[in-house]
Amino acid sequence: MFGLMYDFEGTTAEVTLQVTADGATREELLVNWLSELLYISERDDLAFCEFEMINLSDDRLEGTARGLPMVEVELKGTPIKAVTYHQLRISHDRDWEATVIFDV
Amino acid sequence: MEIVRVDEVTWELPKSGAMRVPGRVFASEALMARADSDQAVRQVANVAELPGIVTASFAMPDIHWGYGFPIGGVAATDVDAGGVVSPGGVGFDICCGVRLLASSFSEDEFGRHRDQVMAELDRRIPRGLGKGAIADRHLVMAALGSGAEAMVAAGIGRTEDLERCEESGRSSGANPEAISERAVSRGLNQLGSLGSGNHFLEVQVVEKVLDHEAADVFGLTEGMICVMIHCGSRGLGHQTCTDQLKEMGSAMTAAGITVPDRQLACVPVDSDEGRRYLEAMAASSNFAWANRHVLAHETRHCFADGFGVRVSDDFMPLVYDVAHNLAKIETHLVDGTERRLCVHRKGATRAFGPGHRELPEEYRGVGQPVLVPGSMGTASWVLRGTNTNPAFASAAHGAGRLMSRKAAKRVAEGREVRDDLERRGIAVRPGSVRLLSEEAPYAYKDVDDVVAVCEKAGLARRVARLRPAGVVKG
Repeated sequence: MFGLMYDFEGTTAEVTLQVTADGATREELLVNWLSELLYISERDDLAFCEFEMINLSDDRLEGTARGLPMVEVELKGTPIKAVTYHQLRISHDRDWEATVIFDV
Repeated sequence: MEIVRVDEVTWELPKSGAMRVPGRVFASEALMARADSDQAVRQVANVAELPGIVTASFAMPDIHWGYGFPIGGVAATDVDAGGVVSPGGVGFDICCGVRLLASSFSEDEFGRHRDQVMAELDRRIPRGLGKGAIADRHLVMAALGSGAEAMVAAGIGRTEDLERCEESGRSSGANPEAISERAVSRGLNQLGSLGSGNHFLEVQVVEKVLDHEAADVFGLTEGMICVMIHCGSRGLGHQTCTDQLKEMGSAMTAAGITVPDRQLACVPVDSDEGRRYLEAMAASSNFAWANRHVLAHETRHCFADGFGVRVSDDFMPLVYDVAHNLAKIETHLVDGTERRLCVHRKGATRAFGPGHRELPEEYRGVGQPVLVPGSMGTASWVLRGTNTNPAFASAAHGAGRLMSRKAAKRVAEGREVRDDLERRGIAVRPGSVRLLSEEAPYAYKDVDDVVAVCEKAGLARRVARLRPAGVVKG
C-alpha cells in the first residue's frame, strides 16, 4: 500500500510502532489492518516501509510497522485515503496473495 | 444481463433475480457501452436489490464503476417501509462537492495579473499532503456541529455565503459525538485544504452562456472570471465511512439483511445504526461545507492580494455550493403518493427545479444551480434543475474516468501534461508534477457529452460553459 504512494529508495526507517487489528474474518482482518496503518500514517505524518507480524490468529493481528516522516519521502502515486472491500480476494497456493482496491 | 433501450438517452435493466426495481441509466450510446464494459451497469442492478428501494436504481450519464454503488448512482429508499441507508451510496468522501465563485474580473484583467494571482494561490491553498489552514481543535469540533456557520462565527467568510450553499452550509441532524476520535485526528490537520486526486481549485472563464435568464439570476456573464473548488470532507470523511462500514457489518447480520456486495452494507434508516450513520454523515458533511467555505475565503484573499485590491463585502460572491456524495431525507411523489425517502446520490448532484422552497429566494424562479466540473484542462458546466427530473431531482456530477490512473501515466508524463496545458494558456500549479498525468484530460470522458445527455433526459438544463484559465491541484 505504501509502496504505491511513496518511493522509498535511499531511505531508512526511523521509527517503530506497534500496530494491532481485529476482524471476524480473514478479509475483515486484512482491511482493518491496512486501515489502521493508513490512519496512523495520517495521524503521525509517517510513511511506513517495513512490517513484521508478531502474532497472527484467526481474528487478530499484532505487529510492528517501521517508517519515516512523510516529508522525507518522495510521493510517486496519488495518496490513498481508504481501504475498500471491493473485489477483495485472499488466496493461498504456495504463498499468500491478496488483491485489495484502495480509494484515492 | 438484459438492457432495453427506452429512448435516445434512457436504458432500462428489467427486474430480474433479486432486483426489487428495474435499473435505469441515462446515457448516450457511447457512454452506455463504456458503462457496460466496466461492470458499472452490473452495479446498477446490484443496487436495485436494496431493501425499500423505490421506482428504480438510477445512474447518471457520467456513470462508472465504484465500490458497491456505481459512481453516478442514485437510489431512493422508503424510510417508512423499512428502507435502508447505505454508506456505499454516499461514498468515502462524504459531501464531496463543488463551490463556484463569480467575480467582477474579466479574462483580460486576470491575464494581466495571472502570475501574481496564481503565485498567491500556489502559496496559500493547502493541498496534497499539506496541512489545512485551520488546526484549532475547538474550531474543527465547531465545524462538525455547525459547518460553514461555525466558520462565519469565527470571522471567516460571509453570512451571505451560507444562503447560497446547499443545506445553508450546515447539515441538520449532525452529531459530532458520532465522529470517532480517529476521524477527528485526521480532520485536525485538514480543515481548509484541497486534498489530492481529482480535487482541484480552478480559475475559469465563462466561455458561453446558453440560458441567459438563468445566467443573469446566477450572476454569470460571458467573459467573467470564476473560481470553481472541488473537494470534500478529506480524511475525516474517509475515516468516518470506514468506521461506519465496520459497524454496519454486524448490524446487518442481526437485521437479516444480505447484499450482493460487501460495499453495499446497509441498515434500515429507522434503526439505531441507521440514525447513527446519518448523524455521522451529517457531521462529516459539515466538515466539508466548512472546508470549501474556508478555501473560498482564502481564494478571495489570494485574488485581492494578486490584484492589489481590498476584499469588499461583495467581492467574488458565491454562486452556489452543492454536494455530489450524500444521502438526504427528502419528500418525493412515488406512484402518486408523497413518500419520505432516503435519497442516495453517489457521484450525483442534487438538482431541485424552480419553486423549490429549499432554494435561495433569488434562485427559485429558475431552479437550483447544478455544478458539473470537467477534468483538469477541459470545460466545466453550470446547469439548472428542472421540475421534470425523472430521477428524484438528481443530475450528473462530472465527466467520469475513461482510463485508470496506471493507464493514464503510460500515455504521458506529468510534465508533458503540464506543458501541454500551459501551451493552451492554462496556468498549472500542481502539488506534484509527477502525479499530474493521472488527472490528464485524456483520462476522462467528454463532459460536453455528459451534460448534453443530462439536458435530453430532463435531468438539468445547460446554463453556461466555463473553460479553465488556471488550475491548482494536489
